[in-house]
Amino acid sequence: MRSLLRSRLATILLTASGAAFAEGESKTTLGGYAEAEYVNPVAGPFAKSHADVHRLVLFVAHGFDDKLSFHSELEVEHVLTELSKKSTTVTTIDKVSANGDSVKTKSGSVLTDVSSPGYVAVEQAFVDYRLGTTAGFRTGLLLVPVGIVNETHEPNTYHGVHRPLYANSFIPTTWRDLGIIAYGNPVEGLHLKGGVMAGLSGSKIGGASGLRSGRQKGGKSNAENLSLVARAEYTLPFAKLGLGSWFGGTSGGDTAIGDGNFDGSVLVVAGDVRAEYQGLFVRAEGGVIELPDAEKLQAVHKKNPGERMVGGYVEVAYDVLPLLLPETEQALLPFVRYEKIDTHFEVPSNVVGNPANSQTQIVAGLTWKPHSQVSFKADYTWLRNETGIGGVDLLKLGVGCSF
Amino acid sequence: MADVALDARISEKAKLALRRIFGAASRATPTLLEAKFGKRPSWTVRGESGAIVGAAMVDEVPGKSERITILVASGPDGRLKDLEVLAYRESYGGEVAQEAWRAQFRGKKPGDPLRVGRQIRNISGATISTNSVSAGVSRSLPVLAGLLGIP
Repeated sequence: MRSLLRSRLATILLTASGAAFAEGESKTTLGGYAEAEYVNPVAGPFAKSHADVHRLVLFVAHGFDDKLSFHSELEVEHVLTELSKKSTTVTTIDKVSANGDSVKTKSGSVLTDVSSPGYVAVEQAFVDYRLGTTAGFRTGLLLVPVGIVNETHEPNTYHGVHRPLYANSFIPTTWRDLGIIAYGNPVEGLHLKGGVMAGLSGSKIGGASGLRSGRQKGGKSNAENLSLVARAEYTLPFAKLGLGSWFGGTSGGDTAIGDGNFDGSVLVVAGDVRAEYQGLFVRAEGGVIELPDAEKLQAVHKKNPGERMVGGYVEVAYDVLPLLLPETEQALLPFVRYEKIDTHFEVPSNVVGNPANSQTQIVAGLTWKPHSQVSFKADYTWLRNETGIGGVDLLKLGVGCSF
Repeated sequence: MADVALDARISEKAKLALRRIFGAASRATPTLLEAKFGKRPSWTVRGESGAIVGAAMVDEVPGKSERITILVASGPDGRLKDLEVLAYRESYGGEVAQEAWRAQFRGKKPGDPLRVGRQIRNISGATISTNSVSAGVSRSLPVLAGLLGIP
C-alpha cells in the first residue's frame, strides 16, 4: 500500500539525485481516493442520466521525524474545471423607423464566462505535531471533527454511491477551514480533540441544504468569528461512539447582526455510533443545529435559515459472502439506510417554513468489496419531501477505491 | 523489500516488551532474521532454566500515511503469545494498541485465518491499521515458527 509507494518513491529519488536518498529514508507518502458513478433518475422531475468521475483526490504526506508531519489532500471534482468564454452577438437598436422597423446602428459581440461543472480544492493541509505517544496538535486547513463522514470520507468507508444525505445537507461534508486542534487519549479507548477554527459565513446559510453554502473552505476565510470545535470518541470492543460539536458566530463582523465573536451564532451537536459484529454493520448518526440568531440572519441576508435543524440516519449492512464462500477475503454487503433531515424544523418569525426542506431518503443496495479498499456499488435511492411533490427515484452504479 | 532496523528508542521499548511478555527472568538473544519480506530484528528467548520459551520479531506495516512498528512474540509451540505496538506514528487510529483488540491474536498459530471483520474485529475509523497489523501478524508467525524449528 502506501509503504510500497514510499519505497518506490525512494528508488526514484535515488535514481534522480545520485545517492542523496537511501531506500526507506524518504518519508514522503502518496495516497488518494477516487470514485466514479452512473446515476439514472428513474422517476421524478429530473429526467437526464449522468456519468461522472465525482472525485479524484490525492494525498501527499511527509514525516519530518516521528513527531512532526505534514498532510495534504488535493481534490478535483467532476473531472475538469475551466472557465471559457462564449461569444454572443449583441445588436443595439438605436431607433425605430417610421414604418416600425428597427434600425440597427451598432452590432458586436460580448464575451461571457461559461464554467464547467468541475471544482478543484485543497481539502486538508496541515502540520501535525505529536508531543507524546497520546497527545499532540495539528494546525492548518483542517476537517471539522463533527460527524463520521466529514473526517472519514473515502468511498470504501460508506455504503451507497453517494454519501448520506445527512453528510451533505445537515453536516456539510467536507466541512473544513483554517484552525488549530489539540488531541489526546487521556485513558485507553477515549480520544478527545478540541480547538479553534475560522467560522461559517451567515450570508449563505439557509434553505434545504442548511449550513452547506455557509462553508468558507479556507480560501481567504473571513475570520471575524472564531468557532470552537470539539469531539469525543470512545472505542468499545464492538463499537465506536462519537459526539462532536461546533459553536461559532456567522456575522462576519457585519454590525447589523453584531460584531461580537459569537454573533449570528450557530450550535451544532451531533452524535454517531458505528458497530460491527461478525459481518453485521450498524451505523447511526443524529444531530441538532440551533440558530438562535436566525431572525437577524434573515433580516440581513434573506436566505431563509431555520432556527432549528434536525437530522439523522440509521444504516444496516451484512456481509453475506462468507455464508457462501467461508474462506473468502472478499465481502458482499446488502445494505439499507433510512435518513431524515429537516432544515426548517423550526423557523424564525420572519421566515416562512418550507415543507420541501423536510426530506426523507431511503437507500437500499449492494456493496461488493473484492478488497477492503475497493468498492463496487449499486443502489436504489428514494428521496421524498413533505410537500409530496418533487420526489425522485435514482438508480445508481459506482466504483470507488482508496490507497 | 524494505528491511527493518531499530533505533535506540524502539530497541529499548522492544526490550521492555520482551520482559513483560516472557517475564523479568527471561533472557533474549538477538538475531537477524531474513524473511522473504525483508530483514527483521528478532530474538530467541530462554527462561531461567535455559530452555527456549519463545521467539519474537519486529515488523513494520503501513498505516494510513506512517509506518506502524509491532513486536510479534510466539511461545515455544509457535502460537502467538502476545503482540505489542512499539511505535504508532499517526495521530488517529491508535486503537490497535489497545489491550482488548490485541488480545484477540493470542493463541493464534501460523496459517490461522486472521481476517479483519471475521476472526479479528475491525475498529471503525482505523480500518487500514487493523488490516495492516493483522497482515503483519499473519506473515510473522510462520517466520517465528521457522526460528523455533517448528515444521
